[in-house]
Amino acid sequence: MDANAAANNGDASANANANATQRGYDSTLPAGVEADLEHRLQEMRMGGDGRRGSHDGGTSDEDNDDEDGADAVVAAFMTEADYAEQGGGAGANSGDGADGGGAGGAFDAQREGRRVISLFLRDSSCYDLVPHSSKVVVFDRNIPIRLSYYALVEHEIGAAPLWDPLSQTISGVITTLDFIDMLRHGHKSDTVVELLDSHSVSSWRSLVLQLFEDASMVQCLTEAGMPAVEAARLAAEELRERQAKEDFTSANAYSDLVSIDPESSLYDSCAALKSQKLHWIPIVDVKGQVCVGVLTHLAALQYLVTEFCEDRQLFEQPIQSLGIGTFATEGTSLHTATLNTPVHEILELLSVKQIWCVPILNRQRKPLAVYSRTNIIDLVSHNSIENSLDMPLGRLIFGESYGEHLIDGKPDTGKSSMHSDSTASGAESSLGLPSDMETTASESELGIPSRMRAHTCLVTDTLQQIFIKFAEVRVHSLLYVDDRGDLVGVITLSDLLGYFIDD
Amino acid sequence: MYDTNPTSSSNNSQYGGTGTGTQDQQQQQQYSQESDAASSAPRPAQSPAHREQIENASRMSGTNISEEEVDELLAELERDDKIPMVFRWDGGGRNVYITGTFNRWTEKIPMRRSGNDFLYIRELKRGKHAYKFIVDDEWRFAPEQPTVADPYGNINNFVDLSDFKETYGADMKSLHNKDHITDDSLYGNFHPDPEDPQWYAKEPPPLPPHLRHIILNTPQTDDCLVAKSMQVPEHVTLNHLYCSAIKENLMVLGVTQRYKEKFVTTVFYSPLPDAKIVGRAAAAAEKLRARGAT
Repeated sequence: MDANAAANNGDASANANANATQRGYDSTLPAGVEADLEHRLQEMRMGGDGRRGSHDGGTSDEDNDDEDGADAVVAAFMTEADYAEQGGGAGANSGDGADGGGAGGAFDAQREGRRVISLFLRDSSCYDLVPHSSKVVVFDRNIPIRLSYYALVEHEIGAAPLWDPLSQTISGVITTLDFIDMLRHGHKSDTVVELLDSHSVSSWRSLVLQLFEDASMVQCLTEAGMPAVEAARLAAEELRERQAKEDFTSANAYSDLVSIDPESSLYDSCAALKSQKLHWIPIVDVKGQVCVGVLTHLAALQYLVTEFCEDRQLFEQPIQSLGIGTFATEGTSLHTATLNTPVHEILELLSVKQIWCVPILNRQRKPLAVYSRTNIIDLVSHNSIENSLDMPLGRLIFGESYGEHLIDGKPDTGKSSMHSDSTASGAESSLGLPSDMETTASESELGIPSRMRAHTCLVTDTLQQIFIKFAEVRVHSLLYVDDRGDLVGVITLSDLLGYFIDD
Repeated sequence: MYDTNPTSSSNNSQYGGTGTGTQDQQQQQQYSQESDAASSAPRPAQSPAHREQIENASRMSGTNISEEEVDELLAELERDDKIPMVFRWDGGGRNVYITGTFNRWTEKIPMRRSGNDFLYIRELKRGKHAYKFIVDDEWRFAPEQPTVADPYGNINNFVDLSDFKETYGADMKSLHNKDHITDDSLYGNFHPDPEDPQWYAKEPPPLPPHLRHIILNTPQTDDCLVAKSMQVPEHVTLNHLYCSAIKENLMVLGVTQRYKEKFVTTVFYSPLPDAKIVGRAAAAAEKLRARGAT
C-alpha cells in the first residue's frame, strides 16, 4: 500500500526507496498531465480489487503462500495486456495473455517505465559505455586453446575477441561457453588433454564444422592423425540436434560472430544480445579496425543505473508480477546442484540447458553458492583442468579439506554453532531466518569464493530494488528466494534487460 | 647602423622631448641619437630591387602606380621582413626587464621567466640592435652575449641581424631543387648484415624515460564495464608497441590507441609466425588437404 501511496502523491522524498535512478531531474511531463495521471492512478486503485482474482490465479504459486496487501494491490495495477507482453519468464506466466480485457489506455507506471528505459537505451550508443581508458584482450585465432584459457584466467575476463590474421579482421569471439563445451565433449570422449594442447581455437572450430557438415569424415580425420576427433564428433552431433530444434543461435558458437559498431544504439545492441542469446558482443569499428571493447549485459546495466534519470515512481512493481526471470513451478523445477555434484555434470547443465548459472544448494535445499559460466576460469587455479572435471564441486572449491563426510551426506556436527551471513543478502538476513538455516552455516563458513557467492533477492522486491542490487553486486544473476530463504527462481541480467527489448 | 627604420627620427625627437636627467637615461638618449644618425644611411640593398620589381609589374599590367604608392608597398614589404629574436637572461634575479634600441630605450619590458632563465621574444628588423637588461633595478649586460661600448663607456649587448637568413624555408627549397630523394645510396631497404658487429654489437639507444611507464603494468581500477577500465595514458605513450617476453611460443603485445575521445589499450596474444604450436591439428589438416588434392 505504501509504495502506491508514494507513487500517487509523486513525492520522491517520501519513499524510502528513493535512490540513484531518481536523482533530481525535471519531470518530462507538464504539471497538468501529471495531475491527470494521478487521477487515473487513483481510479485504477479503486478498481483494483475487482480484477485481483484473475491475476492471482495466473501468477505462480509462491504468491498464494502468503498474501501480502501491497503485493496484491500492485498486481492489480497491471493490465492483462502487460501480462501478454512479459518475456523471459518461465512457464509460470505463459497462460496469462489469454485472459484478455484489462484497463486499456489508462496510465500505467509499468508500461511507462518500460517505455522510458527503452527510449534511454535507444538514445545511448555503445561508445558511451566504453570507459575513458580501457583494456581489450584480443586473441589470434591460432593460439593454442590451453594458452587462451590461461589468458582469460589471467585477465579475469569471460570472453575475448578473435583476430583472424588472414582476413585481418576481428572475426569472432571466444567465450567461457566455448571452453565449457570443449571440456564437456573432451571429458566424454576422454580427450581433454589433446584437445587443449593440440588444437588452436581456429582448428577446433573448423574441425567441428567439418564434422557437422559431413559426419562420415570421422574415419578419415582419425587416420590423418587429427587430435580429439571424437570430442569434435560429439560437438557436431549436438550442433545437429540443436539445429533440428530450430535453435540456430547455438551454431554461432562455432562459426563467425557478429560484432557491433560503437555508434549503434544500446537498444539495438541489447536486442542483438537477446535475439542471438549471447552474453558478449565485441564492439568493433570496422573502418578503423579497432576493437573498442566487448559489450556485456553488466556493462549496459551499470551504465543504465549511473546515467538514467527518472523522478517518477515507475519501477515500484514487484519483480514477480512482471515475470522477469525463471521461476520454479509445480511442473518444472530449477536446475540446481549441490557441493557433491561432479563438476562435469554442472558444465553439462550450463551448456545443454542453456542457462547462465546453476544454484548450488545445501542439504536443506537453501542456496549456498552459484556456479556460473564464468566460474570455469577457477578450474585452473586448483588442479590441472582435466583432473578437475570428475571432482565434486566442493572438492574443487575447498580442496582436500572438503570432508568425505559431506560427500557421504552425513550430518556435520562439528561447526553447527557457527553463524554466517556471508551468503545471505541484506534482504534475506533481515527476515529472521528459521533455525534450520543456522545448522548449515558451517558449509558457507568454509569459505565460498566471492566469485561463487550467491546473491539473493526476494520475489517481492521491486524492479527498482533489483536494478540497484545488480549494480551493487555486479554479477550476472541473482537468486530469488522466498521469505523462508528457499530458492524459488533465478533472474539474470539477460532477463532483466530483455524485458525492455521488444521481440 | 643600429636601426634602419625611416620613421625613427620622429620617434626619437618625441622621446628626446620627454627625457629626464638620470644618468642612465642620458646614456640611452645618446645611444638613440647615434642610431638616429645612422638611419640616414642608405636603405638596405633589397629596397631598390623591390622598387624596380614593383615598377616593372605596374608597367606590365598597364596600371600607373604613383611614387607614394610604391613607397607604401615598400614599407609594407619592410614590415613583413621581420626576424623573431629571442632575448635570454640567465644571470638570475627576481624581476628582469629588457630595453634597447628596438623600442628607443623608451620602456622597460618585463621578461618572462622560463625555468631559471628569463625570455623575451620580439620581431626585429634587419640590422644591429643594442639592448640591456634591468635586473632587480640594476642595469646589467649579459657577459656571454656580444657586447658593444657606447661613447660614454657603458657596455651594452648587441645582436646583428643584417645577414640573417631563414633556414627553414631555404632548406626546403634546396631539397626540392636537388635530387637527393632518388639517390638509393641514401634511402633504401638496405638490411644490415647480422654477422657484422658494426651493426648489432652496439648498445641500443636508451629508452626515453616517458616510455618506461607502462600502462599495462599499473593496476586497473576494479570497474568491469565493457572493457576493463585503465589509467588514462600519457599521450606520448600512444601507438608505442610493448611486448612481453616470449613464453611457450606465444607473444603478447600491448598498444594503446586513441579512439575518438577515448583510449583503448589492446592486449594481443599472437603465436610466433614460424612456431609449430598447433602442430598435430595443423599437420593433420595439411595431410587431408594434400589427399584431397590428389
